[in-house]
Amino acid sequence: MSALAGSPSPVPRHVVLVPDGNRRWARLHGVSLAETYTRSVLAINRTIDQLIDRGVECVSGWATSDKTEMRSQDDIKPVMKALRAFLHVVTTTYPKRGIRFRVVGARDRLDAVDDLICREIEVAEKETQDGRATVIVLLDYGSRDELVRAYRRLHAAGGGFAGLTPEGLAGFLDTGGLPDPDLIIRSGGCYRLSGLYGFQSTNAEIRVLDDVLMPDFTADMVDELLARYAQGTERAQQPMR
Amino acid sequence: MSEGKHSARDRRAHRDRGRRLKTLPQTLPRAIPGGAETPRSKGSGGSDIPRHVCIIADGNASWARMVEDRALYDRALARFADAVDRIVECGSACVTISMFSKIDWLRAREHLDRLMDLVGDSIGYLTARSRDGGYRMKRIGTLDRLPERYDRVAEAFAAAEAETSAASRATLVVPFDYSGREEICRAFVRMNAAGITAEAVDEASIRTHLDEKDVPDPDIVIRVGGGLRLSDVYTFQSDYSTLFFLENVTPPDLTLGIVDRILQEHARGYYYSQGRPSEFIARAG
Repeated sequence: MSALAGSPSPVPRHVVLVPDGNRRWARLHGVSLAETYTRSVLAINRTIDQLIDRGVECVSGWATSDKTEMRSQDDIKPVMKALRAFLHVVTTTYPKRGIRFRVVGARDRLDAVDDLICREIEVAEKETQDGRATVIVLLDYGSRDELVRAYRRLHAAGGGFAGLTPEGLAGFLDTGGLPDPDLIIRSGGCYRLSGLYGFQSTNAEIRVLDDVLMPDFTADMVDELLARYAQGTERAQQPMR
Repeated sequence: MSEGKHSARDRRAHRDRGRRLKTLPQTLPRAIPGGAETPRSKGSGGSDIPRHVCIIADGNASWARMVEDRALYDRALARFADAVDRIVECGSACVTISMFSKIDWLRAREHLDRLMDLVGDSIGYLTARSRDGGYRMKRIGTLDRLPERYDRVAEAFAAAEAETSAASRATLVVPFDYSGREEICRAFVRMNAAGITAEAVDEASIRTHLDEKDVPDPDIVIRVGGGLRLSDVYTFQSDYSTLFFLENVTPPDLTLGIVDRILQEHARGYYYSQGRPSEFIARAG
């Protein structure tokens, strides 16, 4: 919220990846959705590593939204498979690299889909809790849904509604304690937030990649996007009249 | 789910879509044709016609420069009013024009004086245009932080709402010192006062306690002036809006041609097509 007053850093603190276009990639290349997700996870892992290398504190990756999650078992299975592959990377490499892992979203609903995955997520979160950089996976997430949870948490905390400020409310969101996103990268050409971090991303730069489907996302694109972000903050720092 | 039998067709469609966009006609019809060729719009109304279009004048550099240049500012304002007319002509019931945000309070006194003067004049101008068009004007946001010396702004808004209150063709929403996050906080406070419990709360209860519960969610958000962010406009409501961030279009350059193009592309399900809207419009518009 401090585009004028503060001096935004040329490196975003929090970057969000919206890996869209998997279904289209699978159709285009005539391969299964499961294989496409495997490739996507590889691209996402590469991107996370690179972003953290460049000094980004926090990376979020969107896995499923509260709207898409219930299509059918055929859709859920490949997602769970990809998630397990991701969790394997998390538990085997994150502790020694100093990366903390966290899941946000409606976890209680996830339980009904696959009760084992919740246990595995808890283990991964616990084993990585001392990390400095943070990697967040959004599962069964929708920003309005998150606001409902925030309202419940506010109630559970004994109210605090009088004089409620945006900063105060932010602490009750799933992302409480994390910096707001500065840069949102969406592959697949869809010019929407689709319920992603609605409250948190009011001041985030939104970059949509038109011709890039997630499995094709490369290291060069990451650096290009970071460079453009830096140019933007430079412009914002010019003296105001 | 490999759908191998569709892959050749899809590959071709993917290629052709890029080709088709590059050869779009230069001249545009005056309104959206009755049936879009491939209606894929998933707006909240499920229709090709947006129920609500929000236009954000860039809050930073380009808009600030215009405050120094009256002629440029007036031209931008007329462009916006023309855009409202066109959008309503096409069937939308609601248009928002966002010109002043919370962050502007941080500007220097001299700049702010001039800006408040312009805001007062703008409201007068938009009131006249709303009278012609048959639009009801509605301010959202707060006047609590408005210093007394700018009382004229509050008066202009009060007069605008009073004068147009009987109009029903469409609603023109003008945010002033508005923050979508603050609106959500206000909704929470109202919900609590209304006795909504942790068990009973859902998305709909938040929706009905927002400042303006009758304003539909925007199907389209247009931002001119180069900003690639929503800047706290309709934070709750713009969850699924299609975003048109026009990087190369400054406020005085928002022509009806561009507005038409946006409405058409929205009807066509533009959000899945190729070519950045800005570059695309700069090329064709």
